[in-house]
Amino acid sequence: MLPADPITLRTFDGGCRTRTTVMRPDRYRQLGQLELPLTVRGGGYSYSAASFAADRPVLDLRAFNRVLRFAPEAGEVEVEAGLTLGALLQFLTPRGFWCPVIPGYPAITVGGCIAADVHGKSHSLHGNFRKWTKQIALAGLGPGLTFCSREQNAELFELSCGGLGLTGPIVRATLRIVPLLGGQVSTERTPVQSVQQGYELLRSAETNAEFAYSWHRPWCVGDRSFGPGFVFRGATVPGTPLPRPEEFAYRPLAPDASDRRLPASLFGGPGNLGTRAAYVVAAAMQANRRMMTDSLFASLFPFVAQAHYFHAFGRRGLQEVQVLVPHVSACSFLDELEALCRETRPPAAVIALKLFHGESFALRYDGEGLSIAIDMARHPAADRFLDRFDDLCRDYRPRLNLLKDSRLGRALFEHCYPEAEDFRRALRRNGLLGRYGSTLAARLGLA
Amino acid sequence: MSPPASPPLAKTQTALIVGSTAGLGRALAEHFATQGWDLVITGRDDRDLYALASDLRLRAGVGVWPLTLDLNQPGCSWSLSATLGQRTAIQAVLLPAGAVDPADEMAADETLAAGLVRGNFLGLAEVVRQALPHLDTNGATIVGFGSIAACRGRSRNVYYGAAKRALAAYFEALRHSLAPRLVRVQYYVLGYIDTQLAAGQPLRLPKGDPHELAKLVRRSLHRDLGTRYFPYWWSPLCFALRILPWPLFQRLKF
Repeated sequence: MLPADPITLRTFDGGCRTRTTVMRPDRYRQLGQLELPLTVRGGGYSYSAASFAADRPVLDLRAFNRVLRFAPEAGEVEVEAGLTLGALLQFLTPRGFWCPVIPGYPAITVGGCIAADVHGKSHSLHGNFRKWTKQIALAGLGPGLTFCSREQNAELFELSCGGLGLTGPIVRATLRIVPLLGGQVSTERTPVQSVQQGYELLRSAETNAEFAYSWHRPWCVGDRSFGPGFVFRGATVPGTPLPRPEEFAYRPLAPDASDRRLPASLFGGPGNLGTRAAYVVAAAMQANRRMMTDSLFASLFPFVAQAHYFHAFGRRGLQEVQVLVPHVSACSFLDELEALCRETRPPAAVIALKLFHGESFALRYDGEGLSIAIDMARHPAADRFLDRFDDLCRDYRPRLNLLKDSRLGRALFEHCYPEAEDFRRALRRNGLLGRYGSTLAARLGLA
Repeated sequence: MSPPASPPLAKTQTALIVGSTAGLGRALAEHFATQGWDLVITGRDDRDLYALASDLRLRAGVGVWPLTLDLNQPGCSWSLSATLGQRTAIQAVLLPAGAVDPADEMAADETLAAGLVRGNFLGLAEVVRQALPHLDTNGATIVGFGSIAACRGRSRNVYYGAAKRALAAYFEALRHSLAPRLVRVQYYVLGYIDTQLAAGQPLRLPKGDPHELAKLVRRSLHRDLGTRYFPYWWSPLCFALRILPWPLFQRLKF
């Protein structure tokens, strides 16, 4: 048995806190001495409690963070899954390669990206992380590592990609990489008056932008529009100098974002007016700034420079919901969301839209449609909004991002994920049900 | 994987790191590699050793020669001499390897006791003996790592503490014997370090950062240090522990 240290872990959104123990193996032979049940942890940045539980120790695999093989001619890199995305890009991009599915924070591990099957800002073009994962190696299934790919142990591979770590520790991964055309990213920022207008613009931009997303202020401007904001469309600039490794230096946020949180939230309550005023002033100052050119790092990870965004939610933290609504019902969903916001006035900070072009399977947050994320402060008004938002989800049955919502209950999950029972059965068939779990998995009835 | 060929005649600086696959050894290997040193690294498990070697080669772009070496096996370092080859000049020999065992008490069996003494003292002395002919004649440094457990014998870590005290005496002798040559001998006495050795223990004092220690070791390579404590504040603590009268010391539970 590996030695374990007591630790208090908290979700990134601050919604769940647990006292548990953590084991930090740093040798391969230690992976053969694991005693189950366990929770597998990567960077620990999930908004819901996917990487810890009170009733089982946590296995922290961040010491397995080495680059094992770099084969540019084959378009592959093999790494240990504890490697962070920031470190992966720090290695790949100066050599003229990258993996273009990059979620918003560089301290997330490759294993976490696979287990959560994350998406970046370019889902409609590049898909989810699974699309770029060729092979993984799982520990805990036999005496050594168990290699899984689309050809070998295919069921385990499919279950592990987006499987929330319930198939065991992912120790190694072979990723597909492509040439990086330049080290600068040019972004066009177009103001829009409403979320509906943002959605229309995103759809029209889908074919000619490398990435596209929109951010909206969740305000109702009179009776006319809801969610003024900006649509961002951009691409790497071919021929610009490739990034230097030192461009990837940053000071990571604590996994629960608690290191410098303000005493109270600036969203909702008395701070809200000041925040709105600051928004208006900032927007007015940047009104003419339509084209922006940034370094790749700053474009991929805007929250590294804007960590104060998370601190502004105060000590109680934030709440996020993210849903994927099929295009056929996206417009009416946005209209109902507008009506709900007008009625309940949630202390929301931002609404973010992205287009998805994929296929839903098992627990993955993937499919075809519009992804809508809403960040809000922990506040009674947010609870009122979220209760009604759940009703909306019951009606529309969108895909829910299980890793973003730390209060999502089993009933709504099973209502929106009819595949949940198939996933449980597959875990049982492979002898994995209950071996690995988390507070999130217990809440959703998956462990 | 095929066994590595002997490293070529050194153009850059080369360090031999014994026990490099985890903890302090890995921190040393990563730091020296990022500073452009070629490395001969050893470890017990090929999986860890070759993973580290690949990583250092790819990310730091330095030459790395991995060598499987189990200090618990007598004669373990014969292969080391072959790897270093007659033409290789080594500028630094770093010996962070070590082992602890929770069953290391007075009643520990002979095999366990012998293993701890070999892994923490005899095996390292054997490596030094094999490495000496390969040291750079223009100047080299041998760095050993002891433990505060050797400060004063107690009922826990019995054979580990004894082996580390033997290692301290050996390094003192080594420094004395190599004084006429251009070889510096340094010995770090380590307090709690944030590695697997300290994991799961209810420690009353903070742990030192192995990466900070790695930087300190490299920065200090050209100094005639003798013995140094890390973290530094263990020096007065160990002094106080050593002079603590027996009637008081025997009551301590740690």
